[in-house]
Amino acid sequence: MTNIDRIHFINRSALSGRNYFVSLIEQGQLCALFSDTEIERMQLESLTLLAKRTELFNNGNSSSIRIEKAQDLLASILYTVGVQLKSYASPEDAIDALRTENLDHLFYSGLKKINWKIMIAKQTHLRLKKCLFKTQNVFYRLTAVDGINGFFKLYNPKFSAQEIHITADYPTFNGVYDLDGIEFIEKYLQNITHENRFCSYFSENAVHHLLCGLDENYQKVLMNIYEPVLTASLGCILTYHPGRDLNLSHNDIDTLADLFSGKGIDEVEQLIKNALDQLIAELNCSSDLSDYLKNSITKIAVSIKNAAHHNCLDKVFLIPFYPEDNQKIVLSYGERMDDKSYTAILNDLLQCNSANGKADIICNRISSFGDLLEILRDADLIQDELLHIFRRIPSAEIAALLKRYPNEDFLYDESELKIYHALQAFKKMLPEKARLQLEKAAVMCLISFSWDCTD
Amino acid sequence: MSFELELFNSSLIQKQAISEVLKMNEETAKYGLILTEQQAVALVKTRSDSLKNTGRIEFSGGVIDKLILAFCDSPYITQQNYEDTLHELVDIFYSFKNETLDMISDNDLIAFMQKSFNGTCCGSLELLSGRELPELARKLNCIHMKDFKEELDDEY
Repeated sequence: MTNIDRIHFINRSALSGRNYFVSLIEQGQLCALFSDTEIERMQLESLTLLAKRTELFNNGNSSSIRIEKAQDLLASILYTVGVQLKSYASPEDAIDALRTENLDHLFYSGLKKINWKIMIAKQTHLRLKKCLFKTQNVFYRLTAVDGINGFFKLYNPKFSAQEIHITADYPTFNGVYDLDGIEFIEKYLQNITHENRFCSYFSENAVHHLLCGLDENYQKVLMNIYEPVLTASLGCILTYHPGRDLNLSHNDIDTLADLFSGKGIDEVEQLIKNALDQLIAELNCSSDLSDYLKNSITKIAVSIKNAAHHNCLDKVFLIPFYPEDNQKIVLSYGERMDDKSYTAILNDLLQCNSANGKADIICNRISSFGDLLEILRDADLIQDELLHIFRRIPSAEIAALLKRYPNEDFLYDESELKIYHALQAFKKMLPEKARLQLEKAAVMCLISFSWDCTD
Repeated sequence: MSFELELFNSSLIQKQAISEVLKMNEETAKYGLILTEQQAVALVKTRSDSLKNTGRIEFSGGVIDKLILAFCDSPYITQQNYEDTLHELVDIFYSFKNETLDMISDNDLIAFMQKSFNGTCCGSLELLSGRELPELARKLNCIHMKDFKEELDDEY
């Protein structure tokens, strides 16, 4: 026997990624690996180190410091020593180092490692920025470029090595847990780099249309991009399409539903694994990306299994949506008139006795959709008068009114209920073809708050 | 094993501080000012209480020695009021470290306190803590706010 494996006393699952040093000491104490003298020595050394770091922090100008800052400095010291301890081959080796080395030495070695990690992370970030996948989702770029830049700008390993500073809003598929400081950013960058590289195998348009299938306004949705892309490409493989296509149809979803129907989680995972092997071969993925993809499979298999069980596989395997095929009517609220002019029109309407006269006043003197909405609510119009007005205003505005008042829900104001009922009566009076067109236009209608956007 | 800041209140550290205060007697004796061991213990306790009340922590012997050295030649301090004055000065010092947002060093704050105490305050601790030091804190805070505003302007 030439290799003697070390006996492992330490329960690795009890070690914390965030508070590695303290958790290692706790586990070491549980296994009686430290004597009382060693513990006292480490306590004293940590305090001496804190005193030194405080003096440095104060530039030697102040012998005292606020408790909150001292706690931050202590947390930074413990974190830095933890980084050094994690670099040993095993927790038992780290304990040996704690017993034999001065804490001061471990701290400065940890600081060197942190500086090295910063350098590597900066290079990784630079590479990521150079080939960042182009997506309209704002959070992707905001976090991957601006957020991480912000981290490097604010990060101070000397006195607050444990801080993350940023919120890293964009969620990577494999979340980063139980890590702080540069270790968090390092792991986050690794994950997002893999996910970015994978997404780059697909055309920007294909991904855009796929994500529109999830939410047409995905641009402003805080969501992970990699997961729907990976799942859709696996779906393509399973339905005998090229993995890069991302163009699943409703028929494909039916095929997938048949495929996963009644399957247990292991069987689903096996099917997905096989598809992934094909996808990796098709895309010619590097080994580290392949590993990342393989690590994603279990989570995806669970989603698929649950979706298949609830008969909603189309929520997991997205079907692309092409918003450009559905034209929109964009109507803005427009520029509102001043209060004086508005009051004058309102008075004229109240004094006018005929429905036609009221329609004349509104059609000739109201020029923005915002004012039209206000006047319809304020002028205390009866249904007949409203119908006269609806006959005179452009159909785009009627569509916008239908969009504004689609049903009676949440309409508590009497005047708004009147508008709603008048609109319904107006619709009934139209020939079927015109009514259908109007209803379609209402669905396509977008009412914008922007002043610049006009009908 | 605990890695808490409370460890700094250990008796060993307190003893070290008391011994440093007593060592100051060698310097102050020429001004007729002497602290007994009991008085030194009381002063170190005042320091601990002041630090606790102001939410601060101190790692070395502290500022008692520096305050003693700065004020021992004051014409307004005699053996009769020596201990009481030191208790007050320690309290005032930590309080105004916070009020000045740590923008002034220990040495500069003590120098300002000494100059004001011996000068415009004519030995009045009330004037020192109620007029001179608040004015200093106000000025420093104005500078801090100005810097902060400029920083914000640069950023946005």
